Amino acid sequence: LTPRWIVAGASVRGARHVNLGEPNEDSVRVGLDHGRAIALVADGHGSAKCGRADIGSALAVKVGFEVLAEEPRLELDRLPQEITTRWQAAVAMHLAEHPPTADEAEGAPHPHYLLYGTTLLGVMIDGPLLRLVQIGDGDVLLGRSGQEHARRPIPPLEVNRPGETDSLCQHDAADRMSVIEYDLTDGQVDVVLLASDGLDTAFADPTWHDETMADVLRRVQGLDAGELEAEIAGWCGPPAEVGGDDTTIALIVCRH
Amino acid sequence: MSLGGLQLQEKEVHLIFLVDTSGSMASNAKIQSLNTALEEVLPALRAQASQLVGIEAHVRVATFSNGPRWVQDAPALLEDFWWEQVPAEPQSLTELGVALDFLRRSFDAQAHAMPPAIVLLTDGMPTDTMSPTFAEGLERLDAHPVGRSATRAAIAIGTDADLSSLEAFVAGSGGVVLTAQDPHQLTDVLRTASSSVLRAASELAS
Repeated sequence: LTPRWIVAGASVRGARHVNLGEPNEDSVRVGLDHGRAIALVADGHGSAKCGRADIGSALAVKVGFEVLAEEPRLELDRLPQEITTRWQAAVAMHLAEHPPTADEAEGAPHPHYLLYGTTLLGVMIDGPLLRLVQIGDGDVLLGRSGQEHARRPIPPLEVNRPGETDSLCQHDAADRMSVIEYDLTDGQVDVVLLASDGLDTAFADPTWHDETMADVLRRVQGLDAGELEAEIAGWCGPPAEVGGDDTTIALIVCRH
Repeated sequence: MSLGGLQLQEKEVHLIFLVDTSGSMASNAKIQSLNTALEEVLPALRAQASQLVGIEAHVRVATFSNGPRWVQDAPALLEDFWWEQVPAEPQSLTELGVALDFLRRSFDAQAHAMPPAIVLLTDGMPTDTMSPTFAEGLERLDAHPVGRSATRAAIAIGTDADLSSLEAFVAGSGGVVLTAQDPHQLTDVLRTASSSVLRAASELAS
């Protein structure tokens, strides 16, 4: 029996950004395309040097979706360069229409990708194939009913500079992007969760993954896509309020 | 209720004042000016911290002359923090390299902590009679994951401070070196420096 996928996502602006009148710098995009389930989350950097990070993250999920949807069979090792090149082109187009202000240009390296700095997480499921791309922080968890542990396909980042992360804006972004492919022939996944680091950093316990996935697996049962989106928005609220950072979650849920 | 029923928390950001209490700070009432300035900027810092939703700002003070020491046993919540007057130590030296290495070692237990904000206040030149020297201490601080990510500012008190050392201290952090020639200026530049590093450190939490 071919599994049917439901996708949904939501993002809540962090209380710190609300208080400062700043935008939500996270972006989320989910969709079903020719039977493929696709979900992406991007987290624009909070640094003052990244004043257009909200636009950068929106462009990241847009081009990420296009690449995963249009080129589902692209060789895996070409995905990072394809996504990075298209994101840079999208940024260049935005810059051409909206040149940097004097303040933005001061001290910024040409061609100003830093202004748009963002992470990107993306998952595509196409038949038995699951593809995952990630640059920068954030979490991707794979869960299966009855299993105690959530699978984390990409290990947590080695922290070299706390508070900073790899980014699409770096000149070697393609080299820094992780890509993984899974064969789901055995039906190994019931839920794929993608989350910006607003979720991770709001938890007092850094080993939140298993309990959270177990809770997600319980809560998503019987929900349709609209209900799922509303449910996810409710999950993002408390960490965005307490941790203060924008919090975004996207889910791909299997209905057997 | 959070996912999994798990506890949520604010992020801790630490503001560290690294204060020169060498013998020269006793001249021209510099240490008195410094104590007064630090008392005077605290209300503005508390107000700033109260606006940083999701951030719990803590303060810690280290003094240095022949050697460094923490004034408090542990970081204090900024909203509960009161400045404790620090005296200059007569005839003592400015072993800044030892002080930077002291900070670096304190970061060892915080490899995954948010980067702190450091404000260095000094009136002199590193004396480098002990090991590590200023250059060695700075190199060690910059090599540490937490130390090299710290946002930094430096304040030169009076006309004898070695600006090249202070510029080396802030290099790469995006921080500034400010100069104060009199007590009034000291309060102003301290307010500017403390506020900017606290803001920059809290931005790293987003």
